Amino acid sequence: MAETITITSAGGVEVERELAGLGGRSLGYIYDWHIRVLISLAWFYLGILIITGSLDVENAFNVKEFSELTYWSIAVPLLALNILYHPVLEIVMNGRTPGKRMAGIRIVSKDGTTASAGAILLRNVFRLIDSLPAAYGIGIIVVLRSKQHLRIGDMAAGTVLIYEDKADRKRLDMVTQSDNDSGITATQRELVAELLGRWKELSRDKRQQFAKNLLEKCAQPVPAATQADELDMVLKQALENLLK
Amino acid sequence: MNDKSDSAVTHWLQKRADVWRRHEALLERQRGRKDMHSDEVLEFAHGYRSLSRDLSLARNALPNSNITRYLESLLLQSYDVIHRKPYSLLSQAKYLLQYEVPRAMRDLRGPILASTSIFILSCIIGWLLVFNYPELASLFASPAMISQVQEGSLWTDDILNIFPSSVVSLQILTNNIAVTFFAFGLGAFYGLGTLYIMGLNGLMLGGVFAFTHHYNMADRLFEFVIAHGVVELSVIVLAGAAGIKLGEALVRPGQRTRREAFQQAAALAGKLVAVGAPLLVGAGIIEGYISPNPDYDLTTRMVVGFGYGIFMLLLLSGRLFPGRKHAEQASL
Repeated sequence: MAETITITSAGGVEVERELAGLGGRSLGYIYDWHIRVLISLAWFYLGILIITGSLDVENAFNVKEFSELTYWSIAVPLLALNILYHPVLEIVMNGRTPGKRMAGIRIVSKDGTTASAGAILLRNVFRLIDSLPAAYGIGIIVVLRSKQHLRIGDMAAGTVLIYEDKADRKRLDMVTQSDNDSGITATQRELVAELLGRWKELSRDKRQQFAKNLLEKCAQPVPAATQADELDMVLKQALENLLK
Repeated sequence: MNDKSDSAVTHWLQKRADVWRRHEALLERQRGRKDMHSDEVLEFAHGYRSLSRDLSLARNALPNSNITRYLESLLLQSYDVIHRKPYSLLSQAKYLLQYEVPRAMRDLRGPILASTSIFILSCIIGWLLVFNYPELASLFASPAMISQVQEGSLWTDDILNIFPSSVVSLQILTNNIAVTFFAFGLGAFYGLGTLYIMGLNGLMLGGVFAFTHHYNMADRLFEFVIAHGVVELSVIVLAGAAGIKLGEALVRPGQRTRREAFQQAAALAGKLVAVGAPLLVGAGIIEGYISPNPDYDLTTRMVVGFGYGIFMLLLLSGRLFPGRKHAEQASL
């Protein structure tokens, strides 16, 4: 059973959110790492190209005299990017970074609200400790051993990482918006939306069987086709038409 | 679910869907931090309450459905907007400097005293060690530094011949901020990491001074250090105090769980680090531009060093900003 945090909103209604474990965290970090490395490499080679007119890296750094231009225009921005990437983006994007967004996770405080700037800075100060002795060794051990999958930085800042479930308007529209009068009920629309959402995950035989049953239940004509591929397509089309 | 209740749910959904869409649109406006009319704010707050009721109904009528998940998500986002603290980095920084840092300084008196004592004690030990056994200087200084001093010059003399001031400043302040963060963060290991960092830095300072004293150059090293050292060393001692506080919270958490004690200590002690790290930027600039420059005499260096030190004390005690007493009384 995955660990969750419970957020109690107005009227005592409770909503649970699943906590991200080592997998979700690592995925987010790996995305972010690639983004940082790609930007850094692009900046590095572009800088060398502009300053020296060629991509001869050795020549750019093998000058006898120290080049202040190379230092300030290449090394310093790269250092700033790699140091400030996490704290600045996590504050500006309300607990997310591009990588965390791709992994579907977000930093929140323990009560489920957006983490404060102070908390985010604090968890990033402890990033130095979590990353010891190399490759987040301490962080990984602490995440694996803590019940809520927290690294030291999260414990210090009082933050947790949750899986985000963004309010998707499509879900509402699928079930409530209707231009045609197909006469099917909300529960049936839910089932149709669910089946269409999982269409690709199901085997062809299963989904065709479910589709036929569902169309029959909704008192809709069940299309027929000789080819299996074609049948697959027309059944999907018939279900989609129900939600239009 | 029978047909009758099914059609009732369908009817309810169709009726409420527009209300939810409207609420979602208001939520988007909130996110964009656009000014909202007071009517809209009230409408949003009202919508938030009715969303809770709608979610309860949806959970009963359509458990684990798309609609339920949609409403849960919408409710959480609204909860976040409603409970979010006023967002202004500037006012947060002002509040930090006016009230939180002076309070942290008072609450951390014990750890500050402990950190200062450890640092001074290790300085003395470092001095005594190298003073009595000069060959131990190799523990604290690199072979290049040692041979340079033996030839009659300090390693700080020709810094500016190698790198420009701006580069020296940046490298030094980055390094010092990292040391500060380590002195604080390593307190998470029951304070032992902090003791190591403080002890090591103290030993090095004492050892290096004793070593230069051996070659009659301690006064020149003092001249180099004084302009930036007052604040630089103070901030490292403060970070050590912050780390000791973390260790103390873990060693004796009292009535709280270790994690609660650790988090409270980190929140309190982190405030000193939050002010200390920017102060190191100033110290780094002084160390790059003033300390290695032979044009500045000792008096100027002392004025800069102690002047910046007084600025730091005023900042940490909250005296740089007015209105302190009034707010303290209000908070009691």
